[in-house]
Amino acid sequence: MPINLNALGAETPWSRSVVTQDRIDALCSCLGDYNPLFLNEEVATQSENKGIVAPPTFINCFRDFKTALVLSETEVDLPLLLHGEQVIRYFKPVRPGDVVLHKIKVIDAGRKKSKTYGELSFFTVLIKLKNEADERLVEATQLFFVRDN
Amino acid sequence: MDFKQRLAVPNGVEVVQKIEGPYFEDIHIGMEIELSKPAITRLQIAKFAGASGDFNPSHVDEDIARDIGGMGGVFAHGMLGMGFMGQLLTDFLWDRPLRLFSTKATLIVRPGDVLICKASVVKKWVEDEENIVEFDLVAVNQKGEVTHTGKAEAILPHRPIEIKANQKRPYLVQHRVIG
Repeated sequence: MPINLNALGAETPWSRSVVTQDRIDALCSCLGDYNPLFLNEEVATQSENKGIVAPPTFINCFRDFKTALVLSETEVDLPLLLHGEQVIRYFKPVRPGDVVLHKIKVIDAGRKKSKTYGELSFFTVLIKLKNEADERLVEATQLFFVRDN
Repeated sequence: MDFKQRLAVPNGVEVVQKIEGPYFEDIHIGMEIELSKPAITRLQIAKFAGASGDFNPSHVDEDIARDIGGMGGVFAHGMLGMGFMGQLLTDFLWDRPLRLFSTKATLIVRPGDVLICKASVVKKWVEDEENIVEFDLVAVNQKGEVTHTGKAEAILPHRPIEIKANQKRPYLVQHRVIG
């Protein structure tokens, strides 16, 4: 079933959260990425980072209201959803203890033909992460495909 | 507590060590780096769902993934492979920052698949005051099929300039200014 293309422009409210070492640990653990720059304060402090930073794909862990946005606005049936593409732009490092705000917005939606799945729907979301000083930290666009059946 | 204990890092897993560099002038077009990851497990996919908050049943519920999703069973989040590519980059770059990182998931990755991530330097240039290196990225499974493609841009410093002893010449002697 095609998605609701009127979801274009829909967005979540800004959501506030604190970056914790536990959240970074959880991502590193499932990736099997034990780089001390993400995990060891002593090593990280001696690096150019001057302290622990989050791994480059940590923005994937910010998704407050995202499921609500996808279900209620685009009306996607989740098992038919496929993640296609992601572009991440970095402005400032994200660190444990940072208070960050994030929001997610549908910036593109439509129909297209896929070689593998035939005609399907697609939508793109923009995820923005900023700090309390209103400085951009990381931004990402994610393209999703939704099969008709 | 040591992070290896905190995260129960499995025995035999090599942890990347502090490296000197890399510096911009050490990077050559065509240079390649590679990372082989162990076979993906269902537990790993479940842990990624927990870490990312993405509990789409396609990744964690075999019945729904097979019967409603029609994908023949659960498969890994596309972003798990992107995380592996991120590791490839940060293992190599150490504390040199990324400014852009993109991936495209081209093939479903299932439990048991073994991914090898590769990056090759395709371009380097100076932009404003930043030295930029661009990588082409690809991940392949155990059959050699491409599961992810991508691109990354990193910012690398040049070593500080210095005149080495054997390069010093008499005309470089600094003259005292007589005022």
